[in-house]
This record gives sequence, C-alpha cells and structure tokens, in this order.
Amino acid sequence: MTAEYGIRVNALRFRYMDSPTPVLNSVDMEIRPGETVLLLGRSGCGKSTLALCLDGLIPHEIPGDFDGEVWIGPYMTLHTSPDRLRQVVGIVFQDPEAQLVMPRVDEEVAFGLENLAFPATAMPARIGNALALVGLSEKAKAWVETLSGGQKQRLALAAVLAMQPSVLILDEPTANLDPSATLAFYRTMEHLRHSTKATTLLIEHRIDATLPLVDRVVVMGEDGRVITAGSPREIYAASDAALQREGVWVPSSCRLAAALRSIGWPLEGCPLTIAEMEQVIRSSLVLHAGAGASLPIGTAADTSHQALSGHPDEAISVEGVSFAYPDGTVALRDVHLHVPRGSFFALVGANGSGKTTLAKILTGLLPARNGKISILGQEVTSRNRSQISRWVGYVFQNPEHQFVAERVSDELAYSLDSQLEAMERQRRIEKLLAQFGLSDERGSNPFSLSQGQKRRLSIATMVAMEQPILILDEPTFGQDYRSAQEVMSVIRSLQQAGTTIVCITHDMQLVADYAQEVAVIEQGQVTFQGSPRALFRQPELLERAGLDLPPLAVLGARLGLEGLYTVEDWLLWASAYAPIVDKAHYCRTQGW
Amino acid sequence: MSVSLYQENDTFLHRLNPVAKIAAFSCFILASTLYLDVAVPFAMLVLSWLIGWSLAHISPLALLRRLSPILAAAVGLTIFNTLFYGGPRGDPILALGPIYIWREGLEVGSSIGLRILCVASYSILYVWTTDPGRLVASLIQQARMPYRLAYAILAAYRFVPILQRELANIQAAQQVRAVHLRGHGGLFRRIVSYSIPLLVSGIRQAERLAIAMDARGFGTLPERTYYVRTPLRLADYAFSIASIVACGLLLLALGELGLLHGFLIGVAERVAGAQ
Repeated sequence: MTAEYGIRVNALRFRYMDSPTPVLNSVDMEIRPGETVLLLGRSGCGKSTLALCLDGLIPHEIPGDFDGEVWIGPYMTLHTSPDRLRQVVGIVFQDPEAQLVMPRVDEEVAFGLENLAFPATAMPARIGNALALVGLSEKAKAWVETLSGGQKQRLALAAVLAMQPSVLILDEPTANLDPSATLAFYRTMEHLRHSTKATTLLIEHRIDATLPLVDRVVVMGEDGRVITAGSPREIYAASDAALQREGVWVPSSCRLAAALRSIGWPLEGCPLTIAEMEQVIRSSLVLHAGAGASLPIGTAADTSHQALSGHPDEAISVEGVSFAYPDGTVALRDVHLHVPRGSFFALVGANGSGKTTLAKILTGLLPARNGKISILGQEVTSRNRSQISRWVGYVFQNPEHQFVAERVSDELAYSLDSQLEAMERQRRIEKLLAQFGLSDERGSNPFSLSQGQKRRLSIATMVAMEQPILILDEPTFGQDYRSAQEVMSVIRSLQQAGTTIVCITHDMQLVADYAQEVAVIEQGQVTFQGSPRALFRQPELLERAGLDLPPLAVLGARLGLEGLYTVEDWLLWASAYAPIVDKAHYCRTQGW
Repeated sequence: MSVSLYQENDTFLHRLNPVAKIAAFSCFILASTLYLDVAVPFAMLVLSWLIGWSLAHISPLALLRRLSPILAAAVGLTIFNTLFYGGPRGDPILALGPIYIWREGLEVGSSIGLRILCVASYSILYVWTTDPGRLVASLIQQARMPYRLAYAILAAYRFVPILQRELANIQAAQQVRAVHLRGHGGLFRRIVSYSIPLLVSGIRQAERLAIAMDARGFGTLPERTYYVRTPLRLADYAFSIASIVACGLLLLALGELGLLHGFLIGVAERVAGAQ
C-alpha cells in the first residue's frame, strides 16, 4: 500500500438534489489507519450515501447539499482532485452486473489503472498480483460475462486492489451472492487483511461471516446519524436487543445467548461467533455443574416441525420433469418433487442450480419438457398452462419487475377481480394495505418505496389474487433484520390461513426456522427432499450443493448435540437437560 | 447475446487491427454500393465469403446461416423494388395481370437486395472476428476517437444483454400477474406496462454503471494510458492496401467484360439515348 491513511468525518450532512430531506444528519466518525470497520443500519438509513461521501464521489460526481468535512488521511475530499482521490480510495458496490465495464477480466482490472494514466508496461504485473489476491489468476483472459456472480464480485475487488488504495470501501459486496460464494468472498477478505494494510469500511446486513474480520462496528440510525460505535464485543454486549429494535442483524450466537439468559442460564460474556459460543456453553457447564459434568446429550423433541406425512394431498407434484434452454443448456434433469398442501416448502440450492427455472415451470412461465406436473391434483397441459396463474402466485426476487401501476393502491386494485363492485373492491384494498403495513403509502409510487415496503407490496399484489399456492423467490434477499422479520411473519400468517408456501432461498437459518419440507437442487437435479432436520443431518450433501448448515446447527454439531437448529430447539433442550436453568422461570416465560 | 457473436480464435482476420479491418471492409462495401448493378455486389458478396473462409476459417455456409434473418429482408426489398420500378425501361419480360416486370426493374431490385446482403455479410464477418476490447482500443489509438465516446459505445454494448435479461424478467413477472389475460388496451397497454419498469431499471443500471466508472477514475484525466495496445503492423497496411487494389482491379475487370452498368453512367447513357 502506498501509505496508511485513516478516515475522519466531521459533522457531515448531505441532501440529494431531488430530495426534500437530508440523508445524512451530522455524521461524526473516525476510522484509524489499518482498521476494518463494519457499518450497520437499516436499509435506507444512509449507509450507501456515507460510503459515496467517503469515496469522494459525493460531492465530486453526485450533486447535492454537502456540508461538513471528510478527511482521508491528509486529504479533505471536497478540496482534493478526483484523480488524487481515486489513488487513495477504492469502492466495491453491491451489484456485480452494474460495476464491471470491460469485456475481459484482465481488461477490467486494467480499466482503473488506465484512467489514472498508469504506465502500460507496468500494468501486467499489477493485474497479475490483483487477480492472484482474489483467486482469479486462471480467469485473466476469460470473458466477464462467463463469470459467476461470486467471481464477478471478486473481480470488482481485484480491480480496486490493483489501484492499491489506502482506503477500501465495500458496500454490501455479498448481497447478491449465494452462501458458498459469500464464504469465498470473505475468505478472500481475510487473506487480504494479512497481505494489505488497507483501512476498510464494510457495509453488510448479514454479519455472522463478517464479525470475525472487523475491529470495530459503527451503527447508524434511521435519522442518518451514528448511534453507537465500538468493538463488536462492546456493541453487542451493551445492547443487542436495542440493535435488533434498530432493525440491525445480531449474530446468531448473541441471539441465542440472549435467549438462554432469558430463561435463567447465566452465560458469561458476549459470544460473537459460534466458536466463542461453544466455549461459553462449555465453561458455563463446568462452572455450574462441577468440573466432571459432561454435556447433556439429547435431541429436542420435534414439536415445531412435525412431519407432514399425515397430509396425503399435494399442492404441487412434479414427476420426471426436464428442461433445456434454447441454447442447449440443460437446466433441469428428471426432477421429482412433492409439495404437501398447506406446507411451508423451501427450495434450496446454489446460484444457477435450477431453482428459478423450476419455479418458472411451476408458474407456467416455461413449458416442461417431458414428465408430468400436477397442481392441486390437476395435470398441467400445454392447453391450460396459461391458466396456472389462477392457482399459483409468484413473487419475484426483484419486486420492481412486478409493478404495473403508478400508485400503491392501484397496484393492488389491478390484482383484484374486475367483476368486484366498487365498495367491495375498496374494502379489500384497505384490508390488504393494513395487513401489509402499507396504509400510509397508499398514494405513493411503488418505485419510491423502501426495499422492505416494495417486497411487502409485491407479496400483497399476489395475495390479492387469492391463489392457493404462493412461490416466493428469495423473500428476505438484501433486507435488514426488521424488514426480513416483517416479511417472514406475513408469509407465516398466510401459511396459517391455508396458503401453500414455496420459498426459494439461500438462507439456511430461514429454512430451519420456518420450513416444514425442504428440497435441495444440485445442477438441475433434486438430490434431497424431506424435513429440514433430516437435511441438516447430511452435511456432506449440503456442502456438495454449495449450502451451509444454519449457524445454530453448526454450534450443535460442535457440542456433539444433534437436532438443535433453531433458538426454540435450544431453549427446549436447555430447559429439559441443562441442570443450571431455572425451570420454573422458563415455564413462566413460555406461558406454561 | 450480442457479445457471443464474437468467436474467439487466432486467425489472420482476428489478429488484424480493428480499424484497419474497418478500412478494408468499408472499401468493399463502398464498391458494392457505388454501382446500381448486379455483378459488383454479387462479386463483393462472394469475396466476403472467400475472405472469411481463407483468412478466418469461417465456412461460407456458417456465414450464410448467420445471414439468414437478413436474407428475408433482402428478398423482400428485391421484390418490392422489382414490382414498383419506375425508372427508364424497355419491354416488360413478364406480365402478371396488371403487374408488369421489367428487366431493368429486376436488375435494380436484385442489385439492392444483393447490396443489403453484402453490407450484412461484411458486418457479420467483422463482429465475428473482432474482439470488442481491441475495437475500442484501436478506435481510440488509431482512429483518434475521443476516449469518452469510445467507452460510451462499449458501455452501450455491455448493456444489451443486461437489458435483454431485465426485459425477460419483467415480462415473466407480469405474466404471473396475468397481465396478458386482461382485455382492454391489449398490445399497446402491454408495451406500456413493460416499458415503464424497463425504463426505470435501465436508468438505474445506467446510473450505477456511471457511478462505478467514476469510482474507478474514468474521465478524471485528459489523457489515459492503454493496457490493450493495437499498433498497426505490416499485415494491417498490406491488407488495407491489397483490399483497395483488389476492389479497383475487380471493377476494372468487370468493366472490361462489359458487365459494369454504373448507376450514374447508366442514367447518363439512357438520358442520352432518349434524346
């Protein structure tokens, strides 16, 4: 690295030109040279705007009301020329598609160097080093189009690293990646921490993988101010409940520790990672149950996830379906799938494994090649394929793609049967607005809503059509804790009202927490269908499919405990077996 | 996908400097359009197949397959211009009720059709054998195009597959809302309902790309350096000059054989003859 610079932000305020209210309200922040800092906050709270300010793109390229000071080492961004800034700060954005410019990998890395008039003769060495740092050396001559999403993000990182900035900003770099690509990205980051000394600001919603990499955490509130900052331990020890209220994700281990404490298990400290949690549980057992106490072995009763074999009728049945795209790519091979009526069914698999193709076939958007599909007992044929949308709703990953109207209420009206009389129509719209927490936004343009609101509206438009089956593509994708919880509780209440839910997801904790049945797709084939519990007992299958165990299941495995996958499982286990838990207290809190 | 039209290989035509290749190919295309005549565009069309075959290992058949969508347009244009020919003419060679077909009309029609094919054939051959990164580099380095403009072209090129993907997504998402089953408005309404989300997402993607380019220092300095160098080599000069000479010789030879009915010459002769 050229030099080690820290970041200092003094009373920073910023308002976008076309917005009446400022996004950033008097932000003060300091990042020391070489430090890695995680910036947390709800979506829409101004994190990305702050990132753009630190990078100097605000105020140089993006106009608005800029007030206050941003210092990168000795440079105050407002008075530093953009080309100088580009040599000291680099930024990686969220969307792998929209930040790569050149057709080839090596040319992409060269792009930034060329812009700063770096001598052409010295470029190959720089490019080679940068690609080696992110593990893409073999792809130097490849077409960017042919890379996977994860490789594209690592390429974006390499392109910034080649410029050898002292300050590196990463704005949700893994939001579009599947678990194994996310893991690969953070492995790269960890490797970088040792090989470069760049001061790093990281913005992420999901933090289980990132906390071990960061020195400090800064939390932004919804009013565009920094609420609190400190080491991860200080932050989470002080106020994990407050952070959850703020809409910020809390590590699974902290969440579990808080839950166990609430039933009277006096756990020490603040375990930030699964490894620490393991230590905390072990030492607490030794402390409270005597040195000789062995870990109580057990499996929690299967209460929350009863097997659905008792329901013979199926919402969706797929028998031997295959599909190939016109260019010859085989997307699905002899797929068999049975979705029980009324269940919460999860469809998991790596990016490009065929999940979305299967969903499109189930919604009639694509025709199935050979095999048989039945929806609610009725066989799907080429003649009634266009009618499937009466039975199956499909919520896309990007909610914006679904919007057709200029107002939220019109969006809902559009989904309602045109035969309805005006009064009844109005009543239904009001009911949906209230149900999805959108009453205050009825007159807004759907495109101007927040990420969470857009997602809820896209689900509401489908619910309005009252189909008995609803397929959701990554419903919690890229959302903060509170939005994700809101969306999931809406989905769960739909299921309780009788809708069959098919949920495409990467999030294995979501599968553990909500799903009754899960199917794994691996390179176009369904390699598993059964209960989540049965799936989590097969870690080698998960790994082959590019999936992870949910963090709490990893903890169970480390402690030699089977069947503990959710917070509820752990509470049940602790109350039944752990000798130190105040059982009376537990019963009271559970309302028994 | 637009990018996939380029087929990576290491042949003479692939190695050629992209701007030199433009110069040579434009020369052939220009020659084919100068004369309103059948022989020249036909010769140029055959020449494009020969060039592709000998210098880039692309079989004429493969090139024809790529041409097939344009073939339909070319045939349509030929028929239209034959039927609606209004220029100087002799006796009709065919009469279909009220419709007459003249020899001159057929000539003009097929000449126009062949020229379309000729332009398309060279264009396809060009895109097929030209690395887009090298094209941009040589547009800047040899053709002295302002680099901002060249990169805007490249960004647009990158955008085609992205927008295609977005459009497919939007169509699918709206199909599940059964937009296509709704009566009033029909096609127009459907186009409107696609175009608003596509426009919104297109603008957002463009903004993101622009910010990403700024973030990498694009446009901060008046001069930039180039990783991909596309110097003109001997082969580039040789090919360009050979192309011009070949065009000239071909035209001369056709003229000697009396096969050349130059557009302007032909008109002048006929005007003279009429007097």
